[in-house]
Amino acid sequence: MNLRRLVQTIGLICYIGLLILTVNGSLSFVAAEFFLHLDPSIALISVLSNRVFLIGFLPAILIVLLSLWVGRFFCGYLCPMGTTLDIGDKAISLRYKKHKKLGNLKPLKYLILVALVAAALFGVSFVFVASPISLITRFYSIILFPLVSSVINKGHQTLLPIWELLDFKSVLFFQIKETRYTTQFFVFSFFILLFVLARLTPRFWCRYLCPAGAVFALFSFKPIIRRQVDSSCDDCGKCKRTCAMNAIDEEDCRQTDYAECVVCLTCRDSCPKSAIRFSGKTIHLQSAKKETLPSRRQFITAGITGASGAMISLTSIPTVFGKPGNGHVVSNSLIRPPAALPEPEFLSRCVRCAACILACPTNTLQATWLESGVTALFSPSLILRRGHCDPDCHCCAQVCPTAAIRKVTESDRIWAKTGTAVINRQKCLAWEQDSKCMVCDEVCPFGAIDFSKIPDCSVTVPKVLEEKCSGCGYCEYHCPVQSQPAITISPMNAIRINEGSYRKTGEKMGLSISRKSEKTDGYVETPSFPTNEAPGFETDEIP
Amino acid sequence: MHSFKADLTVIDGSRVLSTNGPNGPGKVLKENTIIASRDMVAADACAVESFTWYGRKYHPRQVKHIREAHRRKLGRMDIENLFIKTITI
Repeated sequence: MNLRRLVQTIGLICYIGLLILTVNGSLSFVAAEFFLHLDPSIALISVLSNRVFLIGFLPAILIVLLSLWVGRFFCGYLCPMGTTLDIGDKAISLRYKKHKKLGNLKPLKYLILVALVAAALFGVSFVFVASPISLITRFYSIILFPLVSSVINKGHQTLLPIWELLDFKSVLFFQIKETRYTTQFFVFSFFILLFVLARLTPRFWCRYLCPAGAVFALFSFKPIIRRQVDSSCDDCGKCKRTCAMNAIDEEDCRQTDYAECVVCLTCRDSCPKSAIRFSGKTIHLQSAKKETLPSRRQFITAGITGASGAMISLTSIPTVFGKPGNGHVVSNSLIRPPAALPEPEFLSRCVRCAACILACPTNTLQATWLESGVTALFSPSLILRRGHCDPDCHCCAQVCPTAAIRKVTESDRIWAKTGTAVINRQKCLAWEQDSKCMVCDEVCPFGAIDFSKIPDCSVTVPKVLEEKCSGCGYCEYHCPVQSQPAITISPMNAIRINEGSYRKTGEKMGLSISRKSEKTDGYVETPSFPTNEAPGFETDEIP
Repeated sequence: MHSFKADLTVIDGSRVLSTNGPNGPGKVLKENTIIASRDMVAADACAVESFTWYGRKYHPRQVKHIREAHRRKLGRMDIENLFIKTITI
């Protein structure tokens, strides 16, 4: 194992380790979002689309500045996407047998970057379609994590008889909580496509598509430490055949396209004459190969494409911008996590990395599909029928790399209202079927359900006290009515603010959210005992 | 039908909802009692015998599911024939 493989392995282990630590909010988040902060495309597009600078983006700037010195080392050594693609390459073991010459695709990554920047200037962030770290985080969290955990659980179940035989009581009850996610299949297909493209030519993604790679490339046209060939080279051409990035000139293998080189050192190690060195000292005067930048026409076309994509998405019906109300169509199912920024800011800042979705302990946080337009694709929203949103938990905000979900103080947490409960009387057991059900009231942490007697109804029926409801969804999750629950959370009156206290805003709106006291001990009822047997008991037949 | 027998059954009788079970609201008795048994039916039967329900005493055989469990030999409800150890802490 050479140095690069070692660094790659350690990098990937750190990356996956940090992700695992976020699962179910198990640890106090030791920079779980660290790798997302290293991605310059996320930093660039977020800054442009949101017009705000976050300290979290400093590592990305540092990495970009380092590439002035050593070139695209991030791509070759640290990027979890690159490492995963390398593993995929190895797994299908077709590397270097033959790869197509797709040199003219090299400018494509710059064009993708230009289109993203143009869209970002209009305030629309499309970085989620192409940011490598965002994509790979989504891959690991909503594809690989549930896959691996369900395989482990299934395997464990098959081995149960063995554990029973050996009497391993503690192993018997082992179980990883199985999570389920939306949009999985799309992400899965996307990665299948990437692995298939890597069969055409190694690291297809990194060479031709990656916008983060494009940013690094722009800063590494002539890095200080770079590939140099001395006079012992006899033009055997082995280096250009082994180069995974197609960075060595076809005619003259002394010339390097430094913007493509990821400093993987494969050419140096494979050179029979040991003529290749990576150093800062100029050994042999040679011109760097002409960079493969896009033409002016391509540049303008990409810019216009990105900008018009942004404009078209802004003119689509489900896109939220401006003041809510008049003429705005907002999906009723779109409930954002607590303390998410106001929708337009939220969407332009959220990079869809799915770290929050992975961190959510109740599995209620899910990726949105097209319910709210293209701009909201893969953004997190709550599916409260799947699980409630625990008022004591704010794991999603802890792991968010761009603070699209704000961190709030402990006292403000319950005031970060996500929506309001609505009772569907046609489905409710109490309203419709005279059934004595009060599950919603029992589970509500805020006492926001009120039961009252109404005429024509033998049982008391529930009503929502809207000013007390925080939109946590305990009621929707626990409602015993099948398929469509009788009580659902709608995003109505969710508190979405940029700054300031949620409590103050809520109080101004006339809300009074507080935890229900758990004192039911003191309840004294003058019981009216039935004359015959009490409910649940039968007459004693045996004397 | 496959039945699953617990190795140990523990019933928390620190507070007992004496009326309007299972959801309440109802009269809560503070009994500060814990019932534990290797026999799950006996544990349930003991809970019926130990406390008052709707202000009166009942025998376990008056509860349908306990009677049924006893009939199916999932455990015993005749706790008067069993040795019950009472510990006060």
